[in-house]
Amino acid sequence: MFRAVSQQSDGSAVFKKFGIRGTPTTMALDGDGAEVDWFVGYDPPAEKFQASLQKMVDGTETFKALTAAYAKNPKDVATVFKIARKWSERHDESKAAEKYKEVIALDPKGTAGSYTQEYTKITAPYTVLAEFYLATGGLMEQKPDMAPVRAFIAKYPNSKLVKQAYDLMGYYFSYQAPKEEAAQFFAEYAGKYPDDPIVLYHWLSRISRDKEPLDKGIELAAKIEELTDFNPDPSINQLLAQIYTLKGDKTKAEELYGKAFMENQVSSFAFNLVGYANYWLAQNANQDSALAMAETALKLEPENSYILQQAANAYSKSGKEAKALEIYGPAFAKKNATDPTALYSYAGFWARQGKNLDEALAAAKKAVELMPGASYLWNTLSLVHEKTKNYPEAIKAKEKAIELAPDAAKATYKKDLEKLKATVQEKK
Amino acid sequence: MKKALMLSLVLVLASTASAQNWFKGSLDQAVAKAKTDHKLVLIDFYSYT
Repeated sequence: MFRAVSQQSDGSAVFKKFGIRGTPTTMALDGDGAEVDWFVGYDPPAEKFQASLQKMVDGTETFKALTAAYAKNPKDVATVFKIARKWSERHDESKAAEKYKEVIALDPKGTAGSYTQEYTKITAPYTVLAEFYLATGGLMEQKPDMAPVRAFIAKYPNSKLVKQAYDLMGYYFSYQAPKEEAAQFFAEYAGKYPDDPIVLYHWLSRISRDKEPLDKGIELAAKIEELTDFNPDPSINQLLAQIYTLKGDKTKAEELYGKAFMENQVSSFAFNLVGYANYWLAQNANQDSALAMAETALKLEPENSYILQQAANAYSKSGKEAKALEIYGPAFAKKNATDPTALYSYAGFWARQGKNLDEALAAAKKAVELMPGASYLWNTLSLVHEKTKNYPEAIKAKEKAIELAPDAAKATYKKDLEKLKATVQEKK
Repeated sequence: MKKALMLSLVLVLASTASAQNWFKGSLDQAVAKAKTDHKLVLIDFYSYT
């Protein structure tokens, strides 16, 4: 393992020697100092990085292996294309372009095969992708030439790569282009993808930076709010709040990105975490991660009855009864001794678990005492009695539930009662 | 097996980045050692942020 640090003179020389343009870059050399392979950046999880290292060690589709294959058969389009991708990944656009041009020359009709982009999963012929990369390769420059990418869009108007081409052009218009040019581009971009909140977000970001035109900003903000209403994203809502603040509407900014919004985000996230935990525990997989997520949910929402119950469920399923009772046991019942809904939920949970039944019974009794007119509380009391095998009391409570229940629930309760009575008969 | 062992070593080192056993010497020396040991040299190009 050799580390080259760009800020140190010896490290800087190694950067220069290999033309490294971004960090982190990991590169393997063989015993002759020849480049075996490289990858730029780091994408978790660590196992993915490990798999990439393993491929490098095994020589699977490394730069060295591809170069050797190319020496044997320089007309193999797939090999040439993959060498081009290696150079692109290393941000050496000039060497990449040379190879992309070779791909196009070898297979002008694009029939030699196709390739799937790793991140977007878009599949296209090698030749089309080579044309795409050549057209978009210069878009990160200070003043990029848009003609090649415009020509690509005109040539392949129905390709999925067109959206990616616009996204890449968007970088220049978001940060560097003059306001008027940016407005023209974003009108075209949003016109093509009017229901894509990310496209509208990029336009709105530009307006936010320019602080004008605010009326257009508000129009975009309203559309983005509508599109993301089902699952609002804090980073998007921050921008929406920014626009409304610039416009002087602090109430709307508060509504979109205030205390209640963020508390709701935390709560939703905690719900998702316990949902994840119980899903995987039911699948008998990912147990460590499931419990870790349940614990995180508890840290986020330590007072929320639903989260406590779901976390207790996760612990109970994992055989950690003591922990389940610690968070959702007698202390919880005591704390919620005057809340019939919390007690009902608590009693029903433990009854279904078939555990902690004395506590469940006490809670169910207390719940009906606090709210004797609620049929569902009597139904839960019946369930707890049934679990403790006190069938006479279970039947009595069920009859009371039927008496109080709305018509829609009566039939179900009556069926339960029949089953209960049948169980009693069987026992005799 | 040799390759697998080397990879394990690499990963162990990567997981303890702060106490990393980086090769002490020049890159040329690292390459020479790799040739003797029939291994690869893994270079971590790094920048302080």
